[in-house]
Amino acid sequence: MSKFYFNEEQDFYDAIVVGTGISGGWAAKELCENGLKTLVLERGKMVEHIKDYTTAHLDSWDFPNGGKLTREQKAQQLKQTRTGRVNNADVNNWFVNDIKHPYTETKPFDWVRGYHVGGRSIMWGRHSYRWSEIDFEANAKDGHGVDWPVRYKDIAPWYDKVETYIGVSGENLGLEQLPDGQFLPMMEHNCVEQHFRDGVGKNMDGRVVTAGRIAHITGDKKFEGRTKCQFRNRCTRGCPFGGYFSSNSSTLPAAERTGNMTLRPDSIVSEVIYDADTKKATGVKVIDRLSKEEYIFKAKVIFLCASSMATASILLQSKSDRFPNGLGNDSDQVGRNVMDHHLGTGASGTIDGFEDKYYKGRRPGGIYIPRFKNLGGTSNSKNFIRGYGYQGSASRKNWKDAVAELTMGAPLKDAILKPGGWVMGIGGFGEILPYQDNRMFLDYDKLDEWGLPTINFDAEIRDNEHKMREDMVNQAADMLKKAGFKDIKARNGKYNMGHGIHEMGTARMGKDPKTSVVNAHNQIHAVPNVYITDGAFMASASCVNPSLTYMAFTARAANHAAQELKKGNL
Amino acid sequence: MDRRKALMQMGMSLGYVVAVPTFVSVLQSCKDKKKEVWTPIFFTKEQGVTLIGVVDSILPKTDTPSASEVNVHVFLDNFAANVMEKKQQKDFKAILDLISEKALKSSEKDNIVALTEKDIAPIVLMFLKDKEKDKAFAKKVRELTIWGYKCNEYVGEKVLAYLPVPGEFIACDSVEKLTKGKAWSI
Repeated sequence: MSKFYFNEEQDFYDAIVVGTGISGGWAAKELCENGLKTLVLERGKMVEHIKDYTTAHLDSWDFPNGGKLTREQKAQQLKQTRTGRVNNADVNNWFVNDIKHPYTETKPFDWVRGYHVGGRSIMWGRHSYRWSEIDFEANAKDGHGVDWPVRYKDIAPWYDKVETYIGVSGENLGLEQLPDGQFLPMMEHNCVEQHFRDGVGKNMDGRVVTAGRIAHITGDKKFEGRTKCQFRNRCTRGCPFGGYFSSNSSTLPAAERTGNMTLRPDSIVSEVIYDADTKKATGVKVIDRLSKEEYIFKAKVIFLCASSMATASILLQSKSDRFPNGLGNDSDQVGRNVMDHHLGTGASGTIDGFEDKYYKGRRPGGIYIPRFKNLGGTSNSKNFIRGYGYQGSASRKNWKDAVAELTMGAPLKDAILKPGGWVMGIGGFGEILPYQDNRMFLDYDKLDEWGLPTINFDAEIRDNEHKMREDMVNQAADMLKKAGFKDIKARNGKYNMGHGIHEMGTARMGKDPKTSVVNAHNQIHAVPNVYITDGAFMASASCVNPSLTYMAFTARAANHAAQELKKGNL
Repeated sequence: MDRRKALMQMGMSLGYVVAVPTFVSVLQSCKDKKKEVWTPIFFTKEQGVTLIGVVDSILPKTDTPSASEVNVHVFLDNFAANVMEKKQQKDFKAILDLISEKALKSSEKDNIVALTEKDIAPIVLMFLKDKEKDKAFAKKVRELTIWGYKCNEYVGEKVLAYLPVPGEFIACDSVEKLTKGKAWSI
């Protein structure tokens, strides 16, 4: 059986937060800072900041086989390792064992996730971009999905709050499609990236290249319990410096400091309990991961922050007379509209003339190219709607030409011990439309070891995305070409839904309870004391990385809940 | 391949080997020791001997250690045993066998254990330049040798520019000033 951290067990709580990832951490912090006694539940193991980052200081030679997973290790993570990031011993422990945590695929779906305190806030990509008014209006304008009941002005102050707290390095550009924010000093471009930026700006109608806006501390502003980014680029292992934002380095310690948080790891939430008399949820059912015993924890308000897919599963498992198809599922939208960002398109190129230049430090981000399509006038495409952006970087790691030319021996050895040729690569992140029949189901014939149904995915990208991808490839190659790069290799790789690790949409926000699951404050329409603030609530996907938006909506919803509780409305 | 062409290529690579005779002899004595003490876990003893010759053909001793001096052959033996899929394992063994077969022929020796880098290097060079399918894995071995060499502790910390905690980012400066011309190791 697991244990309670930071406080003794109580009979009743003001709030329960399910999940400790990027949104759960924020819910915990905001609810606790509002004085609510909060139980935070996490299905995975405890992770103590710094102490449990066991690989943080290891070099490749400290791992057997240079860190590559053995066949036996890989066999335990055949789905997780579909993303190359997982296929290394420095980070694979953060990702689930696929044999212990199975799911099935009607259509290929990469569900890449970690079960531990902090969730994917430990392994996230840290890119943090605001949505724009263009994104919030998109559904209403082109008729896909349902209209957002929220506009940019509603969420802008919460973006301010989140950015100020987590620390985002970046550059304000004054773009309508990528609003400015509260940024720490940006991480500079290296010389080849600067050359690319200048070339694209000059030759592509002022198209913008900027630094990736990433949640890392730069400059001299102080952050409690955290220090500046050290440019080690070992973020995914967990950062002992707290150089980047995670629940473990930031929001959970803040919640702990209030004295109001009780944390219980190893707690798999199977159901939200609904009371037909009060028409509210009264608590959650939990299975202890280790002992498999069942518990019930009660609270006035419940925040579901378990991740888009896990939250949808909990809702679908929460059956009652009032909700025979799952809690809050009057609209039959729970589990539908699965979205992600499609990856795998882009281009790379080499360049002459910077052989005497190099950099110092392993910068954990690169460049970002904000959306430039379908913003009106000549930017509009006849072939697809919505847009895409790119992330990328330039580095001196291209030894390929030297190897091919020098073949072997002393000259080859000499070459590989020197900086390689420059190579610049950019990869696209494209918006996926909300399609009702892109969905996940529960399979009650295939139960996991806790007796819970497993997920089956049935989702794919369609015509709009495929046409967008063609443009993403062409534009990537064109930008490199016009900026003076050579040996350009364009690619349109295979993409499975989920591969962007930005799952969204399974309990979408909307104005109408008949077509959506949560309202403008993230409350389930028919059960207002249950808030859903992970990726599930997203009514569309935009093309920017979603975590900053989850955090802003979570902070807003948690403060809404605290006020409603004080008013006696919940 | 016809005999004339093979001899020409051997001659070319021999020319290079002859140019560094001291290193060859140093390497030789060093390697002989290894042959005695090292028992591969995946490869046969003979394949192990060939592998040493192959990795040292690719990355010979210069003013920095050769591949086998930092145990790249041991690293690759472990890697083949534990990481490689069956198909790659088979290809790896096959290419080593093919290299030793050709090296025996050209050196007119009758025992693989007697083969030296001098015997093996021309064959490796020939294979790396060959476009035929059965030689393709030679390029994979070269790639793995380079990777194994660069993620070795000695090379990573002493040969390349090593800085585990940079603490700052300098976006653009001269190679000479930043690393004295070396590549960053990590």
